[in-house]
Amino acid sequence: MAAGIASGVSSQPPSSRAPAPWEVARDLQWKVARELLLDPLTWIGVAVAAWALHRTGVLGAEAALLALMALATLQGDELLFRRRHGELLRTMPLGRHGFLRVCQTELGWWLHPARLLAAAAASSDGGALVGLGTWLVAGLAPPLGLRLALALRRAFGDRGRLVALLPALVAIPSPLPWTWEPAAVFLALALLARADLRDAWVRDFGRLASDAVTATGGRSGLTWRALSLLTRPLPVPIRARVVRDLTLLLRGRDGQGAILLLLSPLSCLLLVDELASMPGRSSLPWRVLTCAALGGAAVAWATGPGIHRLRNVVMAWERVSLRPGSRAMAGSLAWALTAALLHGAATLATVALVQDGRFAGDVPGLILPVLGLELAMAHYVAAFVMGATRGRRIAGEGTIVLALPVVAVAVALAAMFHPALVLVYFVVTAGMYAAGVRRYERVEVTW
Amino acid sequence: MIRVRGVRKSYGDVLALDGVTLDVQPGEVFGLLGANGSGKTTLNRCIATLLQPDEGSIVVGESDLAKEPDGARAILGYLAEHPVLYPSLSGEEFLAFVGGLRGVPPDETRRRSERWLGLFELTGAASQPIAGYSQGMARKVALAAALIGEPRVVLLDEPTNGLDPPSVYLFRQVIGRLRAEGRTVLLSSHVLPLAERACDRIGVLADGRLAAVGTLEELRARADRPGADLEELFLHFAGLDREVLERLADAGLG
Repeated sequence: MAAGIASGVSSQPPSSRAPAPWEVARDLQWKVARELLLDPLTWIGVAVAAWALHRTGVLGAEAALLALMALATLQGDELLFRRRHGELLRTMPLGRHGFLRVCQTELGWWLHPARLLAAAAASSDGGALVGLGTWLVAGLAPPLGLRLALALRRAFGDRGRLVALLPALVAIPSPLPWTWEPAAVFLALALLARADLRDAWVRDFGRLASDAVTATGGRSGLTWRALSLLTRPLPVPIRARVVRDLTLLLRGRDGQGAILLLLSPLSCLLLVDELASMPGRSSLPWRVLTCAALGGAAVAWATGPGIHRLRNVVMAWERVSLRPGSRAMAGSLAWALTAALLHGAATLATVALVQDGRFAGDVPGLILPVLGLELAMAHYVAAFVMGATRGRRIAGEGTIVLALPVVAVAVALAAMFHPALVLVYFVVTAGMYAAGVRRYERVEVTW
Repeated sequence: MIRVRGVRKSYGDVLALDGVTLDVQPGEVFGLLGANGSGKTTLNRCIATLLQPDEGSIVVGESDLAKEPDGARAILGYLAEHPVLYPSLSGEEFLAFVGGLRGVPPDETRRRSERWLGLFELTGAASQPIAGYSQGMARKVALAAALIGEPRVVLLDEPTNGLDPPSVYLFRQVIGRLRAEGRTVLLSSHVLPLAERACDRIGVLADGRLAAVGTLEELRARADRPGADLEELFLHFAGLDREVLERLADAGLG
């Protein structure tokens, strides 16, 4: 994959000459990006999401392209103006357009998963050819994304990123049947952007970058205050941790988690699809549990490793507070279990409402199995990451991918046998809680 | 208030603390001096319950850290040498977070935040993301966070790193205020004028051992150097005065 992605964006320099400065910077950036882009878990998630997008057809080709463009613009703005070591890169002697080339190359890397998702979504109503075409056309998104990021910065300053989201937010809820015109417009715009980008760059990038650095716009604090109100019933130390987690998530500090949470409702759409093709009622519980497990896995992962690594960054502050282990565990579970409950409730609501309430009578019997399954998966991941904390890292987090399906299948089978048997999971894994608390309190904090 | 007995701590083959014994009295400002790598930060982390000593015992207040660390955590405030803050949170959000960790009710946290941020002239920047703060501003937020729980025992590890002279002066006044309120302060620093002016007693750590402890007068008497300033005393007790001269001679600068 590394070679594929790297070679897809630029040719390697001939060995007979020293690499140009921008190529050195690009290679260094690749070392940063590859950690996530070559993570097999990322690609498993992308593959499952692509399959779900294709299967449900929830996103038309136009909406997929608009969503891709919104993402390209947001990420373009991040690379051009907001990343932490951007100033360092800009002051390096990368050549006249070196920084721009590095950003364009990087944006190409970051958009690979999104291109795949857009192609999967587009192929749902337009067939394989449309999917392939979307994938190819989406390859031109980097220059257009950077151009739009520059234009929005110029027009709206720091708030330009929010404006970039608007077209996608309008288009996604109302997918249109595929037609060739939007793709053609996109293609034309992308080619124009490619031609125009360097001029725009020379014209005012320096001023825009300077404005971005010196912008003193404060946060409204609305997110923090709203989340504090929502979590008011929780004890103060737990509440502080949950509000911190959600604020960081909403501000994009755990991109993988945020994307998984956004994609988790796809499991409900899959369920609608499943129930539509179900001949009798006998397989209803199994189909419901399968879809719940799929979405539950996304929710469990989203509330697990990524956000836990972010928590560990400030472990010194947490560890010098009272009962750090049990409170960190409680905060982690409060968030994970609430998200799982919400997803479980959405799954049950889907069963109740689909096909004019045909299966509404089955919902009471599904409550315990579905919620038990979702809670078990979220609990497993939350307790696992606490127990596997080693310094700032989580040891062996990849094994969750193997263990989570085992948990899901075991709990689902138990639920099929008797709904109350899902509770056995919580008895069997009671030790994970204590082990996680102990581990958290014994980690040697050297940062 | 802080009782350290025979504490040893290693990182693999590197011995960071080699049998340190130390007492800090209630209401005292104790200065811990040492060269880079002398073990100051490790000792601070052991007292803050972030590291477990390999040998020896530490008591904070009435609590033996090995048996009831929560008793110590209830009265401790800790400012790390390189405190980590979330760049995407604002200063006031970060203080709300740390106040919450300490169990301070939100309204009280807000009141205390406003007081500290005002004192440090950060009110205007309180709602801005920490990512945009200068090193000194971030340091002040971290100091406010360490004090927001109004701890009885305050551990400050190189607290004036990155602060400008007026801020260092302000910081020294804050330490004076903490002392007046009867709080105990363990101040690790290699800013010698700060230690000289702010501390009641001083300990010199060298190669993981406590080489000397006492008031400035006691240290002068022990070194038999009346009128010596803290820099001379520090170099003397850390065994660095001769070493520095030898190095200068080796470099042809002696």
